[in-house]
Formats: sequence, structure tokens, C-alpha cells
Amino acid sequence: MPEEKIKSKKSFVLGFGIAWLFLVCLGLWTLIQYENFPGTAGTPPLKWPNSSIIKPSENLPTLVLFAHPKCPCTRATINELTKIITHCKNEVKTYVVFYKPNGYPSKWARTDLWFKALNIPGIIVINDNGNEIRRFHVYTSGQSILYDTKGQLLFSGGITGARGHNGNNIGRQTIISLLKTGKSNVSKASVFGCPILNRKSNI
Amino acid sequence: MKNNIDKKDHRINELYTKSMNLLYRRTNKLFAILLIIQWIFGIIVALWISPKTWAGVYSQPHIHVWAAIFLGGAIIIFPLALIIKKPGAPITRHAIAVAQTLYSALLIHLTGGRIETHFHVFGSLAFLSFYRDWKVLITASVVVTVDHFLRGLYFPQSVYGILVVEPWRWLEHAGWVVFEDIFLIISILQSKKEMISIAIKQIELEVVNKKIEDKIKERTKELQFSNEELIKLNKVMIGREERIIELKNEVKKLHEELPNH
Repeated sequence: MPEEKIKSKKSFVLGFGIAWLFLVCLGLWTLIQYENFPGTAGTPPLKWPNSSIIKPSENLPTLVLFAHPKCPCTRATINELTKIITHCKNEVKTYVVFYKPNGYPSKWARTDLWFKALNIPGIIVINDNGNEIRRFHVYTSGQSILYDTKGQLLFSGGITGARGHNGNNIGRQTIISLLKTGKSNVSKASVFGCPILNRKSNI
Repeated sequence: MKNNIDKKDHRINELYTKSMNLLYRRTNKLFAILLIIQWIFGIIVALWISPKTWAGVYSQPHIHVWAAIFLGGAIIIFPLALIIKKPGAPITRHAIAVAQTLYSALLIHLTGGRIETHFHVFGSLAFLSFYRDWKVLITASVVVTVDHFLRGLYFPQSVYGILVVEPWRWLEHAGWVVFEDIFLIISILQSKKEMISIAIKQIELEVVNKKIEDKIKERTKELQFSNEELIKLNKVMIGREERIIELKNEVKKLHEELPNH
């Protein structure tokens, strides 16, 4: 094969390789962007809503985590909750509220996430048809809300660093700091998860 | 003398290059199988861990499923094509190195950043060392380092769990990769030395074999010559014997004729 043709073929392969690398990196970047794009942050009431059927503790701070039972990203959230409870055993009263729409059987909500939460020592698992979710102005699965013994809001946000990602994160660190020392510079964190309710139909 | 040394060096180079090419092709085949298995594994992981995304009671396939199928497929298609079309070329090994490390990144995302999945990076570096080409390890390590640097810069929370960018944190992660690289590169260089040593021994064996073959040829020629001489001598002897028999018969005839007179 003449030298010119060989050079031209090499350039073609190299050019194709660069284009391939660019496209693949673009694909990965898109995936990373999605995973780091938070859901809609909720705006829970600054004071514990008295109309809530969830009873806060008078002696300990109360932590409530709202979750969609089928959200894959919330698996990491439950793992992070386990770490919080492990660090702060007997220092917080914790509820995990799972969405279970009206007209759907219990087993719709009883996914592996539901059972995982149930197995965390000291956790109270509640099924909610959306009332408490709306009462606390929660939109995204994984939203965690911490109130003090007087019912004042201390923290609202997620406890994962990205969608479905386990590991160190601001939310977990803040909650532990608040429970251990009562102090933190942070009161919010991004929430990474699926919308708990469908915005259009609100179910 | 110089001519002989040049010939020997040329032959060493020839044998060494042949061994390396065989090694590249064999390792390419391993990676072709591995890349395909990883792709299928990635799809299974996505379907198992995050098959759907939800909003209330409505669901649709999760982006991870599409990423596993299409992005995963895109990652492996170019190196697979090169394995078929350019099996011995350096670009093939480097493309495989890039694809393998990018696939590590994809798998880590698909498994939700599991610590255990990060072992895939270190396992991949070890597999890439099968090529016995240290430059391939450098390519893979650069990809890992750039990934950590960029994500640490733009998404520090997803990588390190902090909001504030720590400009040198990526070095700590890259450092562990370099740690493994050092040992793998030492092993590669030692293996290459051994391959050259094997090539030299093979040449020495070839020389000895050639000498033995030449001697055998020489001896065979000598034997052949001796054999021919023997045959000639045999013919002469047979001829003489026949002549002796003839003479004997003549003498007998004469004897028989003599008493009659």
C-alpha cells in the first residue's frame, strides 16, 4: 500500500478515535449532570405542624424522612440514614414516611426499601397517601427534616451527595453535627431523588 | 564479525517482536470478551438496581438503563472494531485502556457510587498490564486522574462529599493509582527483560541446532560417498568372482579335455 494511503488511513483512524472519545465523554458528562441535578427542594414549615398525625418527641429531636418506595436513588438515602442512626443512637426519634397512594394495595409500597427502613433499629415506618407529604411541603423522595424538641426546624434537605450515591455528604454531616453538638453552619442540602407525587395529577 | 553481531541483533529483535505481537493479539481477545461481558453486566446492574424512575404512581425507564445499553455500547464499540481491524497496533491497546477506565466510571455511576465498584479501576489496571506495555497503563491512569480532577472541580460533593472545592484532593486519589502503576510497570519491565533473554537463548539454540544439522549433513554425505564406494567395490568384487568362476570352469574344461589326449 503506498505510503500516502497508509498515512491517510492512520489519520482517519485517529480522527475517528478522537470523535469517539469526545462523544463518549459527552455521554458520561450528561450522566454526571443528571446525577448531580437535584430534585425540587421542599419548604417544610418552620414549626412542626400540629395537624400532622406524626407525633414529634418532646425529649429528643425528631427526624422525618419522606420517601417514594420505588425510587432507586432512595436506596442510598436509606443507607445514609442507617449511618446517622448508627452514630446517633438514642439521640433522635426517627420516622420514615413512605408514599402509598389510595387505592393501591399495601404491597405496592412494601418494596426492599420499605423493609430496609423497617430493619433499622428504632425507626418508625409510616405509609402515607400524600397528606403528610403535602403538609410538610415535600416534593422529592429522600427529603429529610429535622426538628428540635421545641418543634423548631433545624435542617431540611437530602442526605446523599448525588442521585443514588452513597458516601460522605453535607446532609448527613449536618444532621449528625446538630444531634451531637446542637450546632451547624448549614441548614439546607440538595435532595436527590424522584418526585414523590406526580405534579400533574398530584398522586 | 560485525556482520554476525548485526545479524544476531536483528534476529533477537525479530523473535522479540513476534512474541510481543502474539501477546498483544492474545490479550486483545481476552479484552474483547471482557468488554462484552462488562457491557451485558452493566445492563443487568441497571435493570436490577435502577430500572425505573418514578413520579407518584407513574414510571418510565431510568436513564441508567439507556446509559448502560447505549453509552456502554458506545464505549466498547471502537476498541472492538480496532481489535478486529488492527489487532497488533498500539492505538488498539490504548483505545482498550481508555474504554476500560471509562467503563469503570460508568459502572460506578450505575451502582450508585459503591466503594466496592471502585475496585474495578484497580483490577482493570492489573489486566491492562497483561499487554506488557507501560504506556498503556499511563493512558488508563491519565483517564482516571482527569475524571477525578474534573468531577472534583465541578461536582465535589459527588466525589468527596463536600461543597467546597479542594484543589489538590484529586492528587490523593491519583496517588493510589500511581502506587499500583509503579509495581505493575516494574513487573512489565522485568517480563520484557525475560522475553529478550528467552529470545537470546532461542537464537543460541538455533545456532547449536544449525551446527548439529550441518554436521549431520556432512556425515550423511560422507556416509553416502562411502556407501557408493562400497557398492562400486562390491560390483568389482562380484565381477572378479564371476571371472574367477569363469576361469575355474575353463580350467575344469581343460582338465577334462587333457586326459583324452
